Amino acid sequence: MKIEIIEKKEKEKLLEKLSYLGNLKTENLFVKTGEKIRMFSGNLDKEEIKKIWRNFMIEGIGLYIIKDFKNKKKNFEETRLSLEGLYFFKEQIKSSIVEIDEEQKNKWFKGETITLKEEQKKNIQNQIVVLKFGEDFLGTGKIKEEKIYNYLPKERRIKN
Amino acid sequence: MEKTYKYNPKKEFEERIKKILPDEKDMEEFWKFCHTEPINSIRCNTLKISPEKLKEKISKYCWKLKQPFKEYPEIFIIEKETDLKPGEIGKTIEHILGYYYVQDISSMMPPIALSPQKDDIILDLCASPGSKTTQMAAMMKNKGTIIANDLTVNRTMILNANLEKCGVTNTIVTRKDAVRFCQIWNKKIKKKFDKILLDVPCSGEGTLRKSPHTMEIWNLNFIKSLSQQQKKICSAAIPLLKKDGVLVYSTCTLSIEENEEVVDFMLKNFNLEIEDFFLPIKTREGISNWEGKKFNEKIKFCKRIYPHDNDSDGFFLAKMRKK
Repeated sequence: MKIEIIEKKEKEKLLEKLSYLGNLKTENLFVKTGEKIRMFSGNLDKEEIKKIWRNFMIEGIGLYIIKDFKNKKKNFEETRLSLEGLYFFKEQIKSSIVEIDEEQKNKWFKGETITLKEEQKKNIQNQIVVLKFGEDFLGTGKIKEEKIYNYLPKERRIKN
Repeated sequence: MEKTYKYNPKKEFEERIKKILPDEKDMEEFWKFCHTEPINSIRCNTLKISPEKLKEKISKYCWKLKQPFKEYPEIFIIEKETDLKPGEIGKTIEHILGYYYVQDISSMMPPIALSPQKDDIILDLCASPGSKTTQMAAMMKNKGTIIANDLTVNRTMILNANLEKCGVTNTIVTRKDAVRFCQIWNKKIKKKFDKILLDVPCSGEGTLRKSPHTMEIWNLNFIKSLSQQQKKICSAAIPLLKKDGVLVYSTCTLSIEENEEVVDFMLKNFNLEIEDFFLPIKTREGISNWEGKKFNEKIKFCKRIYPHDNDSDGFFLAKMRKK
């Protein structure tokens, strides 16, 4: 796994891209591994981490929290929190939340697309939303034509 | 022993268990338990939810829950009267969200023995699937650092998936042969660890209840070869431990060659002192004499966990400190 430790300014920019969810902040270290941004809370400094990476096959560091996706050809850019990222920032997430009901929750965990209900369409200002059932954040989805497309990873879905 | 089960132990294996558990009733109980399903237990992932909140959330499933240890409220037993469907515990939304981890009680003991603290730097050398790594991360409240290593891509993939589900942020996962890992770390990184968990590959005699097939593939030569491998892993890992640092050696097997003999080897060849320690479940002393071999008298501080003592898997633990 190729890793790149993100400097403070770039980290701020990344969190700014997620401002559609709220004013997200963390002191933890951000590490870039391709499109995935991981967060490390351990007590090793940057040089120690780099030294480990140079000498070992690092297969994982910290927690995957953000997907920062760019497609230059299509001029498309998307930055969203992973399921665990949502969990980590749950106290700071204030907007772009869609509260779903029991039936929608069951569909969501099967990986299905959810049709928005009238009351859920109000106040949605962003294409990427987070789904919430009661006090639990259940992942992010993308709104397109009054539907939420499911970004829940396959391994976190309920298998029949 | 009357051979009436689907899987039956080899004669030689049976004879060895007889020597380990000389009391006939005790031995009968052991075999009886080996042919029954173990009790289901879960560990609340305190990185995400409190035990009280979890209890409230899963009350809808009508599982009969028990929190057997006051000092460890995160440990839950699902009592046997509960009518569980196959795989039910692993299919709930709370499990998918990483609110709890399905783990045998005996497998929760090595982190309890190691007692990781918030600022510790810990090595978990044979870490996959990550039951103990995730437990330690929770005990450390995602502070400090855990270096979690395992041998193959498949094993580190499972480890990474479990770390992710549990929201672990303080861990670095590496993929290396355990001995090679230690050699490279010692030569290139040089940083010493406060604590080391050596939950080494073993013959799995303690997990007969989950893998009864082990009874028929059991082989003494395999045990002897594992014992050699375990000694090599320990020899490579000990130099990475700080002075006064703690090492916990554990296996899910009962054979003396893989347990007391390895601990005796460490005590003879390295600057380590074995310590007595408390675990919240029933344990028995380590065995000091085996087939003409007499081990260090402090081997009695090792803890043996038998399936019939706690309705769990069998396990072995030893706690040592570097002098």
